[in-house]
Amino acid sequence: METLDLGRRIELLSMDPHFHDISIAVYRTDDSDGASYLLHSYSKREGARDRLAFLAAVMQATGGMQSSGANPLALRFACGHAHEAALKRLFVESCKVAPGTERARRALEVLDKKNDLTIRAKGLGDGRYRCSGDRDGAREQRRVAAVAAGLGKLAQLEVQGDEVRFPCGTDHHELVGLLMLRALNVRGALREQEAAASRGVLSAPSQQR
Amino acid sequence: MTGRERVLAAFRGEPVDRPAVCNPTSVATVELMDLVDAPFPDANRDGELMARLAATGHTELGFDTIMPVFSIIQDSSALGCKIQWEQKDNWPTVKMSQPIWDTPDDIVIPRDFLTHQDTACVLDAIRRLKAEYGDEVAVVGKTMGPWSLAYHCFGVERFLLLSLDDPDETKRILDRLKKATIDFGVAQIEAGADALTLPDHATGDLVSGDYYRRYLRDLHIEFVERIPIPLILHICGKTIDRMGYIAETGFAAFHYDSKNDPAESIAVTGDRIALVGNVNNPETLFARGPEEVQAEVRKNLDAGIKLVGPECAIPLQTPLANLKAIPAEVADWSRQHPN
Repeated sequence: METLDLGRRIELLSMDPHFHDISIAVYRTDDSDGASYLLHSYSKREGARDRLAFLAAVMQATGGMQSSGANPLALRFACGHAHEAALKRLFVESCKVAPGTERARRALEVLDKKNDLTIRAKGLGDGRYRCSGDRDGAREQRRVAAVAAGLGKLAQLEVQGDEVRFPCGTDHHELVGLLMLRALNVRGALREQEAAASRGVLSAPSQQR
Repeated sequence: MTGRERVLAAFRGEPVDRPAVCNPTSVATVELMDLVDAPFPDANRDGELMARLAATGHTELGFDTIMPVFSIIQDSSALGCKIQWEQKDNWPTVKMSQPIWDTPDDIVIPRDFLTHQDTACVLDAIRRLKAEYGDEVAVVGKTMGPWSLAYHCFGVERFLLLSLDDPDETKRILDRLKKATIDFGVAQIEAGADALTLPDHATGDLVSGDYYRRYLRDLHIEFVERIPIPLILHICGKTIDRMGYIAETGFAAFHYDSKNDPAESIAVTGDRIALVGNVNNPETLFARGPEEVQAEVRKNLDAGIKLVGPECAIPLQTPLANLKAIPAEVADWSRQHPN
């Protein structure tokens, strides 16, 4: 038997557009140090491990994860908290990064093009962030609150008005920077996730077109 | 008992050393495709790839059966239907918006029906699996029933309307299509299949139990007579209203959906037909964890079901741990119930 007990599968990319359509998954295990995530592919293609190593590096740079032990494909958040919803989003976004692309953490701001409004998240310490726009006004305040709510939804954060808080009480600047972009259109992000998950389900002929 | 002996004994209603873990449809996943480098759509069209991917159901997941016919389009493709082959992570489907026939007289089983790439690869895969696994595991083939073939060849909506408006014409269609079911089934027996799944999608959502009796029961009895091997009927959905009729056909087993309660189902069928399947796909195998899978397996075993497995072809993204939980739970339950 070649399949392995890797823990609970959290997310799966069924076809990697950047490496021969291989599948890549992230698995979770828990120990006394908290949650740990392992990147894995069953593909035996030459270069598959390098692709996973690149992905791990992207997740570290853009999501603030760190290596979890000797295996470079095992990652965790420094706080030890699982942050599973945020991890899923980080994995999905990291898989989109083409090899060779510069991988840097994103700034804590996003441009809401529709309203020409720059929304920033300011770290308040202890895992708290306050969102604000570069202009005042009722419409602008609604957009800021929407981004805060989007952050809350994407990463399962506590939300209070324009403020969000990580349940671990630790700052996660990288994650906030990454998620702000998707928080602008959280419905779209969730729809994308649902569409990916629903592929590969066989319907009875009566349900097909 | 070997897996093959166990499955075949369970079909006959004979004693087994433990319940069989049986897959009458598909347990292929994208991760298994990567493991053996046999991805869709090629693994649906090439016998060697098909056999390699199918074998993982036994070698990796621990099932007592190997089922190489993952899709429901092989026969229809050979009949001339247009196929959307899709990619690795999705199922090939028949383009039913482009039906190939209009009336029963249009139905012609092509001369190359059994040598067409999409039927020949199935026969090739079965030969390869039989040669490699012999008596160790039951190799299960698949031949589509005429109701499903009619959906594919005439279009779902048109065929269902016809079944309301013109029962005689509908029966003529089914009667003319049955040759494809029988020919492909017999060819798979000759290739080495130990049993055949016969999907005939008179599904619970669209077709009543009375429809089943009126249009399909007698045809299915004829299949049992003319395809001399254990046959597993597969119909999706809530089908309790037709299980009594299905039990009269002589099919060895009925592959039943999780919408049917195991105890209630076995109360209807009794010992006239074996029941197989029932572990929910979209909610349990795909989206939950091994504990929930084990609970559904146990519910079936406690009800007296002797063949357990997924209710239908599993989603291609199903976690392997959930699939492995099925044989693991059967083993655990059997240790606790030695008799």
